[in-house]
Amino acid sequence: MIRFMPFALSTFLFWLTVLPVAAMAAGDAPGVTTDPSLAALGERLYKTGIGTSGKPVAAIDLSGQQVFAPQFHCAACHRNSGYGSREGGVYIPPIVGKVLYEPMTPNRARSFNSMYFQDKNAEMAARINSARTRPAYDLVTLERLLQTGVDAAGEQIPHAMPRFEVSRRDVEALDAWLHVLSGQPDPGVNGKAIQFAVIISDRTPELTRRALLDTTRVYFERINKNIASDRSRPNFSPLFRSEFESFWREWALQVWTLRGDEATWPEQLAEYYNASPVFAVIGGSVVAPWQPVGDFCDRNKLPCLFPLTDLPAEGANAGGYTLYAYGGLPLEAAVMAEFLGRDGKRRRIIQLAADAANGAIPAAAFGRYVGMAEPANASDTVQVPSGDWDRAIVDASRQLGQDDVLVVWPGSDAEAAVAALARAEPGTSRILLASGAEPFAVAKLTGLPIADRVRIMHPTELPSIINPHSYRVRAWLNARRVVVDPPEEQFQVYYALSVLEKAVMEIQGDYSREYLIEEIEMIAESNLSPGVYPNLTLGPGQRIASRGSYVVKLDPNEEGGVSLDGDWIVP
Amino acid sequence: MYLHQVRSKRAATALKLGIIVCSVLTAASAGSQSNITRTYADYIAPDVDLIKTTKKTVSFTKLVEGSRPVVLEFFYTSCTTICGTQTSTLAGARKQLGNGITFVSVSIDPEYDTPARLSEYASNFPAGDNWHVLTGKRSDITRILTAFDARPFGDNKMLHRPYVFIRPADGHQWIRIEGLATSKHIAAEVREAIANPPPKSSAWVGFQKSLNRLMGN
Repeated sequence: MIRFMPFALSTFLFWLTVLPVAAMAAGDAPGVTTDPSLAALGERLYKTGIGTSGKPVAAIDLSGQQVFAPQFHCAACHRNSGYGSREGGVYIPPIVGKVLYEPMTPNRARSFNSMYFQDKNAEMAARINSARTRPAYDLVTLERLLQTGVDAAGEQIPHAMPRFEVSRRDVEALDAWLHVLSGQPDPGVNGKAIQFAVIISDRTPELTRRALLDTTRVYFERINKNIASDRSRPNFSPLFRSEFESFWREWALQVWTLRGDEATWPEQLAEYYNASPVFAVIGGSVVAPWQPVGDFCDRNKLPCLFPLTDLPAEGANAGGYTLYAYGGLPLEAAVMAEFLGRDGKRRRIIQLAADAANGAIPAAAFGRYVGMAEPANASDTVQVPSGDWDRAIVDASRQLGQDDVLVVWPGSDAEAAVAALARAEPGTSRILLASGAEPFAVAKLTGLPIADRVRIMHPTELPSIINPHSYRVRAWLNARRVVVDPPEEQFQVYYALSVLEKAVMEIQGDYSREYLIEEIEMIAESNLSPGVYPNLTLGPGQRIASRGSYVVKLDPNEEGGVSLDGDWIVP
Repeated sequence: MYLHQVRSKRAATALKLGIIVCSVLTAASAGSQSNITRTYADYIAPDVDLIKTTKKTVSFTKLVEGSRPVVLEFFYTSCTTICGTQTSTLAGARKQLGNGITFVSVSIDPEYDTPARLSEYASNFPAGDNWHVLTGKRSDITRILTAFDARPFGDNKMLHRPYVFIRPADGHQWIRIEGLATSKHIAAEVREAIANPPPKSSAWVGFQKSLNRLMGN
């Protein structure tokens, strides 16, 4: 048995997988016309398991049992892109039309991965190493495959793929859908280059802008130099890399700068996109809610990878096209509510929220969470205009008793809000702060009588823990004369770029944005994180990579001036 | 003449061996849908609390170290490929075996797999009582995976392997099955484990368990 190895494609239903290199550019199979209504029924069957009759289609699992679970829908394994997946030594092959409806021909680039990265018994290994082919699928062989598990070459496929109780009409619908599924490469790629964009705004601080763009530019330079180097030496690596040369494209960077009122951003984004579509958006920082950018990405089915934002779009984890490193201030609000609810006490809570999105959004979220908790608590929210923190904190302190809680969402006014806390020293049992206030709280509140009542959300790794990979990233940036400041932001950009590089390598010229996201879902948890967050993990359909936070207290004896108050909290 | 006989005998033996090997290979390749390996191993379950679909906590040790037969698997709800198949298999085995067996499914994606999500997943595979679908703290689940030698490569859940662990009662070694088995196969393994239990756990494992209990680990 050959052991499974990471990040590689391999073969389970090998006879379905191999496709001509030129097929990337192909659309529908020649001469095939697709009935749109039939294709829509096929899409429904593919994604939800509902057959053309309107009833769920039964899958028959490897034990012969009828199953209707979502885990047995076509899209669960072959994914929305149709390009398949891999897991636990099981390889799920692509079933897009350009693969399924073309005869399989031996192709070394494709079979390279199939040979080495899959559990195989002797029979499977022999099949992969032989130069046999299979004919193109048609309606009859597709129906036979679905119902009996016999492929177009007459071979029995492994039982990891269920059999399905499909009717002829179901097969016709599925056939219509598979003919159009991922039929064309997505915009932003041509024969020479892949276009990527970094989105910033005129509010992005100079330091962040430099961190984003410098890191991205040197990364692109490295990739493009590698490609140029490989291309300059014909047959440079007859056993491996040269096989993939035809899939490679230079990486081209566009910087989209949004200006003025946020209401005009969708229009500006559309203008940029229409002028030169990109395949994906990397990083980005707009210093505003990500909502308009996230909506734009969703509308255009455009992957937006790990923006630097603490205000994700609403429903961020519901499967849109933006992947977030962490859940932002709404996540901190949820963690705070969970933290407060742990002792089961009722108390009065006043929230002081900056009069801006980064105050109002987490305050609203926190209000919802404490209202739903057991026991439920009511919270009053006071919007605090910039420069009015002293008055707001004194007013709140007067209203709150010893057992009550003051929550502060200072937004961009963190320094002023913390200074006001230091002056007023509220007598409440707990003063809870958003993570943005931590450096100011450490500097100004440590040693004060209120210090032991202050708790701060800390969604990143603790200052005392340093991921070894961060040394490599820092050295890599230093070697390219990129100033590392602020490191957390640059490390996150580097993470986004390295995940993207790996994913682009894995999709092997099948330039589908859905496929890119599906690959990133698989790759995110690998060892690419430089450790800004304790764990970055994604999975199929998951959109937020870090889903919890520490709660810390001020502690001058610890690295960074804070120590843990309890475990990592995942709300 | 004598030499010739020896050579003939060797040739005949080689031929027989060849036939046997070919037969075994053919049988293996024709009959199995995937590679399944079966081994015995001693594991010490860490004393951690996990969270049930009802949001209540349960001691993992108490679940798996009782006198009842246990079937244990690792899965996660957004898994694309093997988890649904494996859980479906266990549900089938559960129906065949009745209520006397404890089934334990532990999520390896605990931060995403909330009790509500686990509940929704479990509802797709109705299997009656005494099936514990569990999540918990990431660090605790990593301890369990480590204890059962089931940590995926690079701790990347997408690279996890299809394992099922079976034990008839505490004090015996676990049967470790790797690969996608059928429900009939799993049920047969459980029945066999009850009828002919795996070897006893080593004295060293017993000593370590006692020590852990004393130390409160």
